[in-house]
Amino acid sequence: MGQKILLNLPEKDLEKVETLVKIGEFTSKTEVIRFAVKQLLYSEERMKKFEELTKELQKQTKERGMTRKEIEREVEEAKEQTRKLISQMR
Amino acid sequence: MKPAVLLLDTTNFYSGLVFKGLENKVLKSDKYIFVTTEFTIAEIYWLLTEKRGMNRKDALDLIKSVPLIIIKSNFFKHKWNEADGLIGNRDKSDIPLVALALSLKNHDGIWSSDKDFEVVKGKFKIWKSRELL
Repeated sequence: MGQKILLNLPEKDLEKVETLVKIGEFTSKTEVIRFAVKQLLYSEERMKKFEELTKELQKQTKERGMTRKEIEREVEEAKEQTRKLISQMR
Repeated sequence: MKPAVLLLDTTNFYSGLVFKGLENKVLKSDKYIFVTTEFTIAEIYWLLTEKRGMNRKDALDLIKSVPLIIIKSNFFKHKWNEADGLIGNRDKSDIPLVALALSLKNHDGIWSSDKDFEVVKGKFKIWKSRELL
């Protein structure tokens, strides 16, 4: 069981916290704060994972000699699938 | 003033993963919370697994390593037609992100270098990568 703490947040930040609850991403403001603290405490671990996996992708991009234009073409292929999905949804 | 909550599009997200450029610096800056749609995540997941041959676990781990909130389409479907009216003629695949931008209060704009988003410039701030560093 955790310990209760009293927290003062600036109005602007509180509005954002409330938005996250409103959109259903979190069930309560407490849950948002817990998530934020966890993100901060484990950001090093998260960053390590990000670095490790992106390093491999960046190496691949370099080895394939891919330009931004080619990356954009790959994205276009992915977006084409979304367009198809959207047209099926209508 | 620098933004805090940014809507994320596929091109900048993917560029930030596969290039060691500005987008990569923004993604790992830890200054922003990114918000995006299930559609963007499906595109990124497909790109990582199908185009890059990444295994499913690593692809999901990589997506989860970004400070990112994924919003389900139920949340923004009521803004779908309005978004379609704004950007549908340019690119149908951008409708979900614009619908999300119309639905979500308190965000600080869209991070995108896609020219298609210029049509919503009057409604939302469109951030370029260099403005975020």
